[in-house]
Amino acid sequence: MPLYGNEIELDINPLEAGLDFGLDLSKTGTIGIPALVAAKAKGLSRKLASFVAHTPRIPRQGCEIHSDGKVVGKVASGAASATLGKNIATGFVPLALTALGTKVEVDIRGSLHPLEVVPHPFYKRAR
Amino acid sequence: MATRPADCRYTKTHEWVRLEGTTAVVGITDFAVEHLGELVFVDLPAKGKKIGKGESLAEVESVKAVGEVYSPVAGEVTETNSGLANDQTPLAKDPFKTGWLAKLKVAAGLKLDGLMDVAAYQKHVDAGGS
Repeated sequence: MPLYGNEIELDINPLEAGLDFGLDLSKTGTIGIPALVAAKAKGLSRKLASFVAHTPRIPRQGCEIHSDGKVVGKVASGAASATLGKNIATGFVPLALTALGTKVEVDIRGSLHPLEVVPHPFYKRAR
Repeated sequence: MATRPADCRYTKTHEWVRLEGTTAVVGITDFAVEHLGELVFVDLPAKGKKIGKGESLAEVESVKAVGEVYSPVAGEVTETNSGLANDQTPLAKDPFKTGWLAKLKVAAGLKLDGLMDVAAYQKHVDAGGS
């Protein structure tokens, strides 16, 4: 679930946060829609991805995400998942790094730990 | 929690220290452990690291927060309870004995006067602990 202050902020647009389902881009009279149509045409520079953290430490909001020795994004939310038995996080990274299985790293209080892109939602209850 | 050890001295930030000759054994109290909640990780210093009094010695991470552990004494790290990185149970269940965090070599004749004894620490906890 996106949380204001974490996955949604003044400088994050709904396309980046994966909230396309809540938009009707044909409604160009609505405030903000023309800007989003333009952003979509231009292509997104970053997108929200879901990660599993392969570490006992928990990625927290604001932790920097690294790839190839450079900072490429940051964690929006992180938690220990009791259901999955792993630590998970959401974070904004460049589109090129959002493919399932992509491995990046997260800086938790000064040390780097492995993150892997996983499907979203993290868990789907069998019905 | 059973009674806290009388041979330890305590800090306002909920660390304890026990002097054994010129070795200081340091840990965090039951109050700290209880407020942290479910522990997930302990980050301990490297052997040989020199720590000043009040400087950050270790980090204890729980599901909800990361707690910094401040060294009650100045010294050099000689040994750490490294098993805690994988299994935090001794810290959760027995913070004053098997849950110790680090041992430091301290100056001979070091006094722990500025720290609280067990009764004073109890008053501190009763008053909220902050």
